[in-house]
Amino acid sequence: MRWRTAFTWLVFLSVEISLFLAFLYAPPDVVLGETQRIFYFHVASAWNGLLAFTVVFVAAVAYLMKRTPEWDRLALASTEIGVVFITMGVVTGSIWARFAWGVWWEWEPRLTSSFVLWLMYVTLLVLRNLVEDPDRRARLSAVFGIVAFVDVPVVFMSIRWWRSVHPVVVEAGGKLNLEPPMVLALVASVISFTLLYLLLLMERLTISKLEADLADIKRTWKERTSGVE
Amino acid sequence: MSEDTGVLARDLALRLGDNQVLRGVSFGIEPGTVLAVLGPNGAGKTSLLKVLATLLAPTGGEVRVLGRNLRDAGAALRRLIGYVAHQTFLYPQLTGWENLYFWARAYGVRKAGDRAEELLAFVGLELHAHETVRAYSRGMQQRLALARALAHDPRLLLLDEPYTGLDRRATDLLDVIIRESRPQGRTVIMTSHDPTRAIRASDTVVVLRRGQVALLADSRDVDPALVDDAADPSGGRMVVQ
Amino acid sequence: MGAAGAVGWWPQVSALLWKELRSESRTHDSFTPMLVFAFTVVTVFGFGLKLAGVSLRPVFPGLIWISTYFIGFLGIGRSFAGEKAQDTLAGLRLVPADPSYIYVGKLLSNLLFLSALEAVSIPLQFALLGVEFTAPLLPFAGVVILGTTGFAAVGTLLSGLATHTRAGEILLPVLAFPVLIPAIIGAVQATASLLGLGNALDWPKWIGMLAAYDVLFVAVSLVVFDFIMES
Repeated sequence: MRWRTAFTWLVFLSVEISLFLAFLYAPPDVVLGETQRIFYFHVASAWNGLLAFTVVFVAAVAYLMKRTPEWDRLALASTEIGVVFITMGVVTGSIWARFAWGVWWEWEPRLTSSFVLWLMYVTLLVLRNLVEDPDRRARLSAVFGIVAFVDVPVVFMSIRWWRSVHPVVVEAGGKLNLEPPMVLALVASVISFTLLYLLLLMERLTISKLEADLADIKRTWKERTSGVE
Repeated sequence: MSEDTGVLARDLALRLGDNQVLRGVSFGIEPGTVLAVLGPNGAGKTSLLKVLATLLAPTGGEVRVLGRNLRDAGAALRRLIGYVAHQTFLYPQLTGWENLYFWARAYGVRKAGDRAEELLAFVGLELHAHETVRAYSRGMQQRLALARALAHDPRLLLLDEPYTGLDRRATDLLDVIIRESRPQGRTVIMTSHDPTRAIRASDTVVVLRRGQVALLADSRDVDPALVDDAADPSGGRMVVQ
Repeated sequence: MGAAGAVGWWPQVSALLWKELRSESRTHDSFTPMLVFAFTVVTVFGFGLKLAGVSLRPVFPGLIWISTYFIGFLGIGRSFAGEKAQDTLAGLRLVPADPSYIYVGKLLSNLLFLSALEAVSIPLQFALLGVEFTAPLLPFAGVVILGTTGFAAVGTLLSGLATHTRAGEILLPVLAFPVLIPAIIGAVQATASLLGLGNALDWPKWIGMLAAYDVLFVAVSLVVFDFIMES
């Protein structure tokens, strides 16, 4: 477990560095001023949401092929963390919209797509809660995880087409002219958030494993105490 | 024992969620014979039948049905199996004829309409062919369920608690089906918690207890009165003579 | 005694389709409630929007598809309800064919019911909401067919999934709407384009997208359907 502790410190350090780069090192935006700094976390969160849902898809396919509970636990862990990140992505996007475009919500392609993504994976968590039997729960949520993931590029494309068809309401501020320090801050944010995702994933898997072990112990105990043989 | 035509289970195991339903079940029967699976509730009788019907995949061991490995036989094997479960697999809103016609077509039977009429006559329901199954009495529904399982003339007939709740006429019909199976070379496996009747109708008896084989014997050697003891988890007297 | 025929797939699909149509013609369990609901929905839209003095034409493409999908859920949610009473779903799984025949049989019967419903409900909406039908007929029919097929493809799959949950068929719209968003966008945009709202040259592009969506989700459903059917 020593490397786990070391990794936790590494994540802590990298988040600190990215905070420093985003808030102190990178210059304020010419047009948006200080509020532009939310952009670093917004991009990093949204990227991690996508990464997490890709992991859900891979775990779902693997579960249906191997039928071992480990893959289902990975799918669950990644869904939960992905929902947290995509929520942060949508919320920071909304705040960004408030200052860049003057409204809290704009049916802008990326923002709308993220919101649909959020909707699908919250639905996946709802589905998990509505199936008691563990095998069936794993199976059905794997199927929905696959269907949702296949839908992601279609959602992105259709929304992009849809918005490009209409007169563009908001364009100013959508274009960013990134200076090199800004690029560095962005890259650092993405890396540190990705490391954070991995750390959270490992912690969540550990908890799942402990829960499964506990259920195992309880069952064995029940069999030992009730069995005549 | 010819491995290639009957049913052969070797060390069969089945785990459903947290429950080890079947553990190390082994038995073998010749084609054209009748096997009775006995045991108390929860012994794994229905689960064993579901495995043989390909509804549940075994988690361990090997089963050969009619010469094919259950695991990879798939659709070709399902065509040879007829299954009567606790539920009738009948659509209450359809007529008796429509039910048989549908299932015969689904099993790829040619001239499904003629086949449906033939079966209705065989189970004595030809006068009710065009009434909806909802209007059938329970005994009539059970006769139709037997006809449904025979629609594709299966080589292996699985009967789950077939005698439960049957009226006189359905019981007689069931006896005829089982008796006629032997000369036709059809293998029959049935579960029951009524040892007397099942032992009389069968050639071989398996008693399950907590998912394990407690007794495997020739039906002629088994005293029905003692089977309950073999199946009883606390008793455990073996009764082979 | 008769002999068992060959192992196939289309024989099973057609048998199942026959069974669905025969059941429906006997009970009218799905179609009648859908049809009555269609009238209700149009009336409610009329009261809620038309009487409020809102001009309906600009929002009509959205209205027509939202109502069609809502009405559709009523019938499609029951795709597997009739298989529960006597566990006939287990019986269907034992049939000697790839289990995807169950999906295709149910999908085709759902498509027939939805088409029959739309033949009534869509003209009704134009008439009662007072929107003039100005679209070219053939492309419009194409949009309706493609939009319905996508809905049925996703709806049939997720209806099978929903029946195995504690919530049952009530869960279907919750599961299906997020997945259906591209189909909704495509169908609404194509309809708007055909009715002369927005860019009149856009509809071929949206029809292409709808077709791609349909093909994708029928294909995905065929692959994953088997996993839903396991008891």
